[in-house]
Amino acid sequence: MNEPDMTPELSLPSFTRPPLQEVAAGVQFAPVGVKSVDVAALHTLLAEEYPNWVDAPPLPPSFETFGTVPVGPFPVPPMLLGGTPPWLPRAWFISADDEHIVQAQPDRLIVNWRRQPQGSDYPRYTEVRRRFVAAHDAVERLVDQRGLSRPLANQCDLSYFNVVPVPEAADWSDMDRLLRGMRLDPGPGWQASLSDAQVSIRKVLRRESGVPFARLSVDCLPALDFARNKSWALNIVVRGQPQTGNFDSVLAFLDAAHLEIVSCFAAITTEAMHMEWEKHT
Amino acid sequence: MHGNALPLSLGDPMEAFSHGTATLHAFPRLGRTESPLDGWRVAYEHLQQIANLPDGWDGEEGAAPEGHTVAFAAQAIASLQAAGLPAPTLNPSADGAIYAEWHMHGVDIEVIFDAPYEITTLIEDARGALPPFEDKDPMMVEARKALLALAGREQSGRPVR
Repeated sequence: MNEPDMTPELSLPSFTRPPLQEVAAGVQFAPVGVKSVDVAALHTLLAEEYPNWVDAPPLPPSFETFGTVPVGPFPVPPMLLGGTPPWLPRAWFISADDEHIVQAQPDRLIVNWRRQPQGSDYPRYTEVRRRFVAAHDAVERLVDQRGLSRPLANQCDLSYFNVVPVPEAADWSDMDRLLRGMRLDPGPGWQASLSDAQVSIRKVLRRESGVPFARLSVDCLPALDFARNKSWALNIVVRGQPQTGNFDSVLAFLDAAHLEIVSCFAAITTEAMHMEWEKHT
Repeated sequence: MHGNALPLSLGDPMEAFSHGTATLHAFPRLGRTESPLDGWRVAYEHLQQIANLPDGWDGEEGAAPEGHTVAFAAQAIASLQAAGLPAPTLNPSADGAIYAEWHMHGVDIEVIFDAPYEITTLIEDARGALPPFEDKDPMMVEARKALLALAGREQSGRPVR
């Protein structure tokens, strides 16, 4: 995957009723020296779209690395990062309809859309991207006002979390109803009735030069939906290093990740599910 | 995670090692007086100490390593452990970098973590089998090659010439 300059929604598979539960676009950067008063100032800049505010524990820094043996992100607990200033909580600025969130901490900015039981349809990547750009713009205005250096990105991620109800007369282990070619057939020697199953798929994404820079991760695992019906959680995440630390590279990464995730989603899921989700291209 | 003995947390390195020891118990390395896991335990303990260094830790103007550098180094060396490579000695540098070093069996390898994805590798081999190297190595490609060769020498148990 390269990081093309592209129109995000152009010529990608699309679904009228996608099973999306949550989408998150995030960037991690070298910590900017903000204080709690600055977080309050950031909320003031964003309060029109995100009037509510709650605090959450900070996310530890994590990185995609590449080598002979795949190793997932290795989070270092913030309390072990003793050489850095005291860690602020992760602020969640939440929209009035509870569907959009901006998460901010000294080294992270994440914008989420999440489905609510009686809420709106998925507003599409272009809207998540617009909100991400607006939130990042607010962060840059704040650090400019404070005379701090602008965020220099070292990691980006785009995450799509889907929840797909298990079809009638099927169970969690019947993943071939959701994922192409994932039929579990233990053979005649073991006639066990499987209760559930999980699948993890990883793909390293490379630049034109062949150098790896990101990893796509697909995880399918048992879950329950809002109504506590049996469902599959199908999580697709692209995480990695932008070409440079500047914001244009961050957006290029997210656009390319969007292309990769949507293509992957359409490729690994079954025709029957596509009909249910009303696929069109 | 991926089935090998990966550290789950710097807070309790031994917790991670407990997952992957069955094979080692079944096939002990003959002639060794200490497990290679001891080396990794010490490495993670040192990394934790490095993570907690304050500015001026060397009594002068030594910079505390930046949290992202520590996190990146932790993940990078975890990938070396997962590949079955020998544990490094970890040291801080006054400029905030973290040094991972191997000096054994005639090979000197230094991997310097200046920042996330900013890695320099230095390789010298007294036997001349490995070409000398001193350059940027952001994906640790050269470092891994040298460490594989080092692991081979360690297993063969040949003495240093």
